[in-house]
Amino acid sequence: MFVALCCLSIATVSSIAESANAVDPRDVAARIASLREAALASILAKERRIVEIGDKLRTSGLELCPDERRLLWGVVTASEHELVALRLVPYKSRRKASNEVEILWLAPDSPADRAGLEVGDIVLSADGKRLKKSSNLYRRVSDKDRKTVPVRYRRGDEEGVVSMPLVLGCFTAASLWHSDSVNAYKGYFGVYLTSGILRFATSDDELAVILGHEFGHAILRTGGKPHFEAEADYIGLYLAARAGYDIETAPGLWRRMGLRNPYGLINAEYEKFGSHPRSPARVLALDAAVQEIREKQKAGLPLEPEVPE
Amino acid sequence: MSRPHRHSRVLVGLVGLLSLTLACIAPKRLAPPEVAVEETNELSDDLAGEGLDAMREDVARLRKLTDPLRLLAADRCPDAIVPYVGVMLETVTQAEPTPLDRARSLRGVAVNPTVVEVMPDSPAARAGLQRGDIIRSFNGHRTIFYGNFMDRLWLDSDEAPLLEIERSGDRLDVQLAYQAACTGPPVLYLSGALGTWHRSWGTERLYVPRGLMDFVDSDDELVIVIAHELAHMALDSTRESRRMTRELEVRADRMGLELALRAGYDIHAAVGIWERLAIQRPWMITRDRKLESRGSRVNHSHVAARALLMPSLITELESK
Repeated sequence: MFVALCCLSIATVSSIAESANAVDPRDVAARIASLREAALASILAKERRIVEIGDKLRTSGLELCPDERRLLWGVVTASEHELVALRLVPYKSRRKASNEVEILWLAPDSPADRAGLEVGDIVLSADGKRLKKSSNLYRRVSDKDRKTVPVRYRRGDEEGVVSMPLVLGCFTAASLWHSDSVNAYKGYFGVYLTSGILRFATSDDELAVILGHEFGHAILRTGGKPHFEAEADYIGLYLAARAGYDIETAPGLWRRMGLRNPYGLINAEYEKFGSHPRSPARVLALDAAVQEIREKQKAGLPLEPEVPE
Repeated sequence: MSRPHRHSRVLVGLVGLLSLTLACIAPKRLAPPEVAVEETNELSDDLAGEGLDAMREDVARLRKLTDPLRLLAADRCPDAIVPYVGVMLETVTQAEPTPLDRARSLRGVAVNPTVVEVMPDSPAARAGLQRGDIIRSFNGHRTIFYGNFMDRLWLDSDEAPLLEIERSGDRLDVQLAYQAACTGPPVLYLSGALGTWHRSWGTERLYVPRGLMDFVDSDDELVIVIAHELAHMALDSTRESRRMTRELEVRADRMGLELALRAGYDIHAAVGIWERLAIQRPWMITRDRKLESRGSRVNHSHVAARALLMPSLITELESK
């Protein structure tokens, strides 16, 4: 009896749902397609912005990272698997979606562009090593004194090999992390900015300061302790200055970070328990570092961070 | 004197090797500028004050948008009625004050709930409550420690409570008369998130993240999202509702738009805002993988289906 009642109520509910929902499934499919197109365009615009700023920092900071030099491509890539996970293409099971690295965008005059690669190409291998995912693009290259590296690709049904000019940059290219939290990370496979921090930062200069901090961690091979964070801030500012960004925005950025959540402002005795220095301490340290860099620029000295004696 | 252990050479060698390895992988060190603690503390207090003012501004904006909707909906949420007073309260902690606590103390906030803002034309305004009033007791009970949970006290008490107020050193009694409102006092969530959410148990609250408040182009758009969430809080409290989530989305959309329209907002904002939010979070475009792969059935939580239904819903509501 109870089961029968349940069935009846479900049937009633679904009939209500269908009557109220008088939309043509074909219209819905078309709308979903257009929404996905807009979402992909929005993500691509964000990724492009991050790669453009990140690659400038990677190039101009090359002297500062003798141990962390990797290929510079100037591309935005994605695999079908990543697009499925973001629901940007119709659903496919994990096994069926491919992991091949497809080029979605190329920076004009970038090494990949000069090699003759095009949007839509699948990168199969670089420097003789097969690519299993996007981060494999930035594996360490064996011989850094060569002029070119071989890149095997597939365009449509045809495969080919091009020699890409060997240009190096610090660590890996930066990319987008799909999260609304206002944050940035340096992980083992790369440097990430969240969509939240892209909305929070008001200019490319501020993004360069944030990216500089994360690349700073990669160069210093550090993270997770307040004094390391201070050093990453410091070298990050040098990276941004070397790439020609306006570093005067840096203290203001950290000021706004502090204002954003006043509950995060803590007393001095609790600073040692946190992973990062207090926002006000970062504001003051960055203020001083901006002065230091300005003086070096005026005196025509090389922009290299100070090391302890 | 004892002879050194015969394995000590091996030990020294191992320790040496270990320290050599450590030296190789040890991080490089730099010499960033030093910062004085006193100066940092000073700036910390300044930032706390500035941040508190900005936070109060945002909370006031939220309350200005949400309170009228909750009052308007009072006849439509019989299971989710709560007493409404119309004050913004703050407290400070007694032990180990943080920079934010110091900023609040400087602005006259006490350990007991302190009135920061009185909503115009609310029960609190009619009872004569003012900014800076400290609520010392409530129907004879001390209010210390209640802080942000005053609405629980109000919920559990009779219809006309007596408050003992401290105003510029004087004590006075204030008789309060509640107004009925739908549940869902808004809380400013200090995050970059774009989605609102609510809790329908315990102390019911509507969480609105700062990320969303910055993302919307106008108050109209923010009201559309808030009203939809309030409608859920009003409708989801019934037991049968748990089973019919799809139908519920349409009901919440309809009720939300009705509320926004009655409160005097432009409901045409609803056409764009849901899709703009979905473009920022593409995984919201189609939430149900199975339904999508079947391709025939339409899910109500589809942003796409919703966007197609919205224009006719708006015309229907406006013609009423």
